[in-house]
Amino acid sequence: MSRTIVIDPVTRLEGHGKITLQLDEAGIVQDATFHVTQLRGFEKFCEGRPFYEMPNITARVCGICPVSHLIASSKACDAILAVQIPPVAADLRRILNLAQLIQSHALSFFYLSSPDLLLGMDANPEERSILHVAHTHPQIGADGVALRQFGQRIIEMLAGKRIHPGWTVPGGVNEPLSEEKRDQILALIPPAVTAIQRTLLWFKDAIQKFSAEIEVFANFPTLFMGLIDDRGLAEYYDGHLRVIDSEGNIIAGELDPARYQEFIGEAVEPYTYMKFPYYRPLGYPGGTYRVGPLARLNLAGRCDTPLADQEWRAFRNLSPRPLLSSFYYHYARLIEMLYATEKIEALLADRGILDKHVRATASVNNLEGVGVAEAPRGTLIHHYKVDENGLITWANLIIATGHNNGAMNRGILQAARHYVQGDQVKEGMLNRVEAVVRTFDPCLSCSTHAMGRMPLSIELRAADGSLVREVRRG
Amino acid sequence: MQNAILPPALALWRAGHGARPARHPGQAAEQASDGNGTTVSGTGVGAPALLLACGNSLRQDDGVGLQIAGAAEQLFPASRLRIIAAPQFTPEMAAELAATDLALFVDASASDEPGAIRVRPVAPCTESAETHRLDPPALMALAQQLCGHAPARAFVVTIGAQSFGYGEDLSGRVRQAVPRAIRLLGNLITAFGNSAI
Repeated sequence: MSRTIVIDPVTRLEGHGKITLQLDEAGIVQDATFHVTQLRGFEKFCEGRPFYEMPNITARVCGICPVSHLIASSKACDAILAVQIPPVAADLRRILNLAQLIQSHALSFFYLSSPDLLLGMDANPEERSILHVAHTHPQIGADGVALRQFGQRIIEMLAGKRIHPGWTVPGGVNEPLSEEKRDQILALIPPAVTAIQRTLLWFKDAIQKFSAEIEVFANFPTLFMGLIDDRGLAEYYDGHLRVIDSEGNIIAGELDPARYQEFIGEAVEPYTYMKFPYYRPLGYPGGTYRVGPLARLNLAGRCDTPLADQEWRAFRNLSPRPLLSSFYYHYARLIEMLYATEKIEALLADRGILDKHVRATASVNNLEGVGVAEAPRGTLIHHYKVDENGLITWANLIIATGHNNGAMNRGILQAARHYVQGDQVKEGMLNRVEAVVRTFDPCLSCSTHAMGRMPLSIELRAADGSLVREVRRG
Repeated sequence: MQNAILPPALALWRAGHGARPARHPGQAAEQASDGNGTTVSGTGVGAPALLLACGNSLRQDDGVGLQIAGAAEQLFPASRLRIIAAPQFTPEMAAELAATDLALFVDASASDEPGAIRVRPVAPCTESAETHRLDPPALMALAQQLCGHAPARAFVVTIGAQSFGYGEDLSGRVRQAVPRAIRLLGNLITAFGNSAI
């Protein structure tokens, strides 16, 4: 008799998800599916709205990633205006985007995943929280809080508020940076660098304890995709898309992000609202790829800031090929935080950053626009079509979490096959299957444009669908 | 400060706890008791009070805290009141709490009568920990634990809500409560904030 295990909801994610594990008659996991059963509606209800409202509307997709949507949406609107925004506006957007990356990575690493890393996957679930981390590992807890606040303070100083800021607009930004704010941000940099380096030092030592998890946490060949600059280095705001295979071969070097539909297809599965993007030349599911911190550090030539480059080299020296285990997303996040902090400092050091000309103005010059940037979780694509009056007639958003959907599903299957045997559902097993998903740091609010909420349970189901056993928590 | 109008229970609480001790420019962190056995360190002179408001502005009355925060921004200079409005209380706010001696948490309440304003002192407590969302006592505890300082005075101000449907408008009784809530916040700041020095 085959049976099904359901984990519902998966905890410590942005949003709510559910996992179903299908057991065969011998109690071996036969299949695993990650369900996101939330309604996606933004593309539809944006129709008819003026295009210049899109940055603020789409920023409402999520309370964690509003800045990422602001950036990609503003870039799509720039394309509709057909303007080249002032260089200082692009750099100010870069700083905002990097600050977003820092605060989001801090949330993922310290708040959501550090309880697993510090207290162990088998720890009492009641203790796996940032508050308990603060008690048992106060320095790491303090660094996590400080780094999240660091990213948010920069966003607040640039954009006026930390959640749903409206500073980024079509054509640039709506206010230049003052010397006073620049100096305030610069003063925050040194302690942030120290905190990140301290965490990296600890993590590089601690990671050795997780060799078993590294082995089975979505550790398989896939493609990797992300933005690079003209030199082939990591890029987060502009540039070309690069795709590499699991051996590190560049199979597409300079893809124009605006032509994403030519090389990205989106498959649909009946059990989830989240689509399955794939690299079109290799078909579905063969063209499954990963995006985000691990992908970016796997495919880039290096980071392009001194301290981050040192860490990047140590990271890449772990394997002659791209690192395939998604457990390394955690490590990559720390290196990216270091890069982002250094890069913000470098951008602010340029006197031109105080330039007052921060916005280009125009009316509708293109009836279609695509905006692409690297969000914390990976490549974010906004694509709009408008009529001659600038009203949205069609919109498509491909979210970082969506790109990773195929790999997340395969990762859950891999971990479940390793940890789940028979109908003995133990807490540590449950948490490890969830922890695989957490390595990707999925933002389900973004990827499905969430409505509703799901609770966490594991269900064992017979082949006929009847419930054999249920474990519920959360 | 003598004219500050506080609800009777709070006035009693204040009488029991006394006004903030006077400080002098350049004075380093000080030690005090919050009356619940928790030792708290001061942040020095001049730190503005902190207003932490949470809610969802797209879910009708759930956004009342954010509306109050927006109105307070117009009324109080930044040197007197730092305002943070967010969808929820999150751990990094502990660092903000550690920089003030007066914290005001403002939120909607689903359990009170629509428009009813409730204010109560809050002390650090770790029993309500979640993953990346915290309530005021847990946030105070986190500030104490990680930063070595929790505000000497902290209050939760809630406004009874009626409707949590889609929309940006408050329901009638909740909308009418907003000016009263702002007056209350003003009184708390006058009684316990910088101007009390």
